Amino acid sequence: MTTPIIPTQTPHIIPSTAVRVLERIEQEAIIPTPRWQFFVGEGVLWLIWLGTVIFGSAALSVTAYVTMSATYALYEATHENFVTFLIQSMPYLWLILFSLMAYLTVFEVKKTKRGYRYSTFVILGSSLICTIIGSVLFHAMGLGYTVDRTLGQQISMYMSMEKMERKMWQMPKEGRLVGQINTPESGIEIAVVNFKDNAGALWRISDGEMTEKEQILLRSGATVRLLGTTTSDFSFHVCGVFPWIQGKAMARRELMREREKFDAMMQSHSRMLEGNTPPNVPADSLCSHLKMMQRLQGQ
Amino acid sequence: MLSPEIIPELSDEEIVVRTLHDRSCFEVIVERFEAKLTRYLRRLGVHIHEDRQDLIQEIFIKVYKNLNGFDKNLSFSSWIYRIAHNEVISWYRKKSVRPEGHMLGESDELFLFIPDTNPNAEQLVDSIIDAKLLHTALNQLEPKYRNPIILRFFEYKEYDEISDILKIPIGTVGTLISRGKKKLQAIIIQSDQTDTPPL
Repeated sequence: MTTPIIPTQTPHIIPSTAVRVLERIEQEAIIPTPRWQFFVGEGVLWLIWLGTVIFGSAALSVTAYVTMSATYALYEATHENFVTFLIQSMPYLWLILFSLMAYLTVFEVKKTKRGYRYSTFVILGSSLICTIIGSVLFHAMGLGYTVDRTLGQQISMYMSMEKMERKMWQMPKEGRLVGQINTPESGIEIAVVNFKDNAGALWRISDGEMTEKEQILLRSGATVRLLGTTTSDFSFHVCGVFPWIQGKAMARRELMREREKFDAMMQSHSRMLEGNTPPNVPADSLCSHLKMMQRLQGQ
Repeated sequence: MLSPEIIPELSDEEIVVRTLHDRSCFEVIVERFEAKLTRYLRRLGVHIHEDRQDLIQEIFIKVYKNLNGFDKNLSFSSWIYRIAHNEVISWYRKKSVRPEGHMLGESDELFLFIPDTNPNAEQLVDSIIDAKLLHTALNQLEPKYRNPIILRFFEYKEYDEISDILKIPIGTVGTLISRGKKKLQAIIIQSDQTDTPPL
């Protein structure tokens, strides 16, 4: 009897994880990703962060320019009240862009190697500080005005500060006009002058209630803003003349001066309503019946 | 290859530097972390042995590929745990399942940290001895609380290490652990009350 031959089985040895990993590395020729790729990845994130801070600074400098150039000094003349003035003057587009950039800076820093260690508040706070410093520099360089004006010129849909101001002051029915005297003749005493408005229309200006300084300013030929009322078709009775200031944010001192002048004008016309006629104002003053005067009396 | 005598003296970080010059040194890293990561994967709910094996291999391959990206300001352990954690999340995403049934081992360590403010503390202590209850409660916890709790109480990681692994600020780690413990306690009390038969 022959004994059956049982084939001898070689024990199946399971290779260790280390051996399998090293074998796979060798078979698939895996090599560590070069160091420079990590540097580039990190660098790109910080560059994007820098870009968002710069763009955010630009947005903030335009916001600052628009806010500081808004005609706060004459808001009673242009708006129903201070709230409507604020709502209309807010540079929403730039505020949205600035907020978006602030969000992106947080997003980018969080993605960097060690960004997760800092809370959103710390990242947002430090990015905002950088953005504010940048915006102050840009504002000092006049970038806010340049960006706003250039966009206004290049993009018809973009409402630049200058476009908005011109639109707001080119409202004769509301008692506002912007433009310049048609034929400035210094030294010549005239009771009626022609004034060319922003839309190119010619107006007959009656200046009986203007101060001497206002007459000088009007007759200088410079672009001016007029406050007054229409008396008939293309006839405008002037109650106040203000310089057309565009191209820079108004300094606080300048703003205060304009505000003081406006206040004085209002007080003078307000006295008319109370029956105290100042010596240089005609008894049949039209200015005391301006819409804004009525608004002020109602407040 | 490193001589066996010097291996215990070398830190993980030193082995990383050597691995970049000599691939075979990577074996030491695999041997040092295989058991820890396997246990961590089980705690994250990867129960099937083959799945764990595949995942472990993928984790080490990823570690090898990214060795140059290792931030020397971190501990190597935190870095490798982070890779493991991310790999498990991707794995769950690929399989379109959510983690279930965390194997916690000696799971009652956690209860040392749960404040004993419950008027029925004795009942609670009795009931929590059952590890199943803890597993169920932990499963019901949102991942954002569950992950730091697992790392803190079952992997014994410090807050800064958890911060590095989960990529969240240290302050947030503390908040999540504290809130997680309260939520876990509430779940346990609730399930304890549900299970108690009415008198």
